[in-house]
Amino acid sequence: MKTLSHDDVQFLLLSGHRQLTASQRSELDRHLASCSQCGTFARQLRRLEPRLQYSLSVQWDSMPLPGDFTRRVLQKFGRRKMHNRFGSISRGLAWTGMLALIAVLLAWAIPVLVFNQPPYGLKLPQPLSRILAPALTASDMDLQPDDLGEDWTLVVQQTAFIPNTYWATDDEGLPFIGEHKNKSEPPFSPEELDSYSMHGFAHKDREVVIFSATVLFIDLATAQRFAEEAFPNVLNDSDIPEENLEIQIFEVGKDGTQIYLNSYVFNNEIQIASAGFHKNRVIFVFFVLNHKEGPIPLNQEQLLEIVRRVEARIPADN
Amino acid sequence: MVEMTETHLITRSLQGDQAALEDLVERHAPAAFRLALSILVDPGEAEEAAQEAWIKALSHLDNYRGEASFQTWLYTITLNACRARLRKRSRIERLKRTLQSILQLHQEHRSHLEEELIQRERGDQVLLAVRSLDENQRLAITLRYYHELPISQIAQVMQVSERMVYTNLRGALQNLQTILESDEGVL
Repeated sequence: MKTLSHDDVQFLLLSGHRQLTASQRSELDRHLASCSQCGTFARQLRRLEPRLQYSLSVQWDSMPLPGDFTRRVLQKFGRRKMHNRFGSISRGLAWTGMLALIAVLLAWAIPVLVFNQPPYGLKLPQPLSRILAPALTASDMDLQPDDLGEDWTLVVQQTAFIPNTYWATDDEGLPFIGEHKNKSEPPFSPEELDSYSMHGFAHKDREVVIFSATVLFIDLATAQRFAEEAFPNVLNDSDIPEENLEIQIFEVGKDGTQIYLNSYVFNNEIQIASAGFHKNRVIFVFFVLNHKEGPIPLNQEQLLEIVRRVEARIPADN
Repeated sequence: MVEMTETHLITRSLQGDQAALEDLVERHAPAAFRLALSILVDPGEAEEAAQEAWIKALSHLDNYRGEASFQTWLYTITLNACRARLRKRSRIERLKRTLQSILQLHQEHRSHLEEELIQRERGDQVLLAVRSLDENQRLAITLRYYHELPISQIAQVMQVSERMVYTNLRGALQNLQTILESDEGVL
C-alpha cells in the first residue's frame, strides 16, 4: 500500500474519513499516531469543526426563506418564459423581415448586378449615345435628291469626326460648320457629342448646295456653346443687318417643343440656318445657296418647302 | 430513491408540470437561499441572487444533464450569481468609500435582518473569524461545514480542482486557528 504523505492525510481528514476502507483507515491512524504534525492538525480539526458547524448553523439556519420565495421565483420565471417566447417571436419576425428585405433588395439589384439592367421600378437615364437623327441617308434630317427633283445630287454625306467636307463641282470649300474659324472638325469630343451627321446636296447646273446637318449633344450647355461657335450671327441678332434678316419659327414635336428655324438672307448668297434646342440636342438645318454668277434669290416658297420636309422628318417624340 | 424522485421532478417540470416545478423549487430553495446568504450576508441581496439563480436554472433546465446532483448544479449557478453581486458590490463599496471620504459621510443603512446577523456575528468569535477570511476560504468553509458538501462537490460548485478546495480549506483552518488562538488564548 502506498504510504500516505502529510498532505494526503490532511486531505483525508478534511474530506471526512467516513468513506475510507478499513485498510485506509488503519493506514491513516498509523500515520496520525506516528506524525506529530498531522496529529496536531487532526486534533485542531476535531476541535474546530464542531464549532464551525455549530456557529454557522446557528447563524444561517435561523434565517428563514423569505415568504413567497417559490411563488415569486415561479412568477418571474413565467414572465421570463413569456418574454423569451415573445422575444423569440419578435426575433423571428425581425429575421424574417430582414431576410425578406434582403430578398427584395437582391431581386431589385439582380437586374443591375447580373443583367446590367436598371433596377425594378427605376428608369435609366436616356442613353447618351442615343441617336435621335441617325447619320447617313437614313437620317430623319436627311434630304434625298428626290426630295428636290432630278437636278439635285448628293455632294456630301458623312458622319461625325470625318474631317472632310466636300464641295460640289468646283472643289471650293463648303462654308460649313466644320470650317468655322478655320477648324476642319467640330470642336467637340465624343464625350460631348452624341451624334453628328451632315448631308449636302448640290444642283448640278446651278451649283446650288443644300446642306443639312444634325448634331446631337450630350448636354444643353455644350449644345449652346456649339451653337455660339458655329453660328455667332444666328445667336447674336445685332450682328445681322436687319434688312437681310428674316426669321421664321416653326413648331415641331408632339409635346409642343419649339424648334426655332431662323432664316437669314445675305447679300450675295442665301444662307438659311435653322437651329433649335430641344433638351440636350440641337437640331439645325443649314442651307447654302450660291452661284458663280451672283446671288440667286431662292424662291421663298421653295425654301419653305425644304424646311417643311425637314420638319416632317424630325422624330415625332421630339 | 430520492435521486429518482428528483429526476422525475425535473422531467415533469420540463414537460410543463407546474406542480412539479413548484415542488422542485420548494425542495431546494432554502439551501440555495442560505448559500447566497452565507456569501452575501445581506438577506435582501441574497434573496435576489437566489431568485436570479433559480430563474437561470429553470430557464436552462433542459441543459441539466444529471452529471452532477441537481443541488450541486444549482449551487454552482447560485455561487456565480453571488460572485457577480460581490464584484458589483465591491465596485459600489469603492465608490461609496470614495464619496464618503469626499463628503465625510458615515451612513450605513442595514436591514433589520442584516443587523441581527451582524450582531450575532459580533457575539460569536468563530463567525467573526470566518468573516475575516478571504472569499474563497470563507466559501470553502461554508460549503464544507454549513452545507456539508464533500470536497468533490465543493470543487464542482466552486469550479476548481479538489486540490484547490483542499488548499483553501487548509489555509482557512490555519487562519481560523490563528485568529481564534489570539482571541481566546487557547482554542
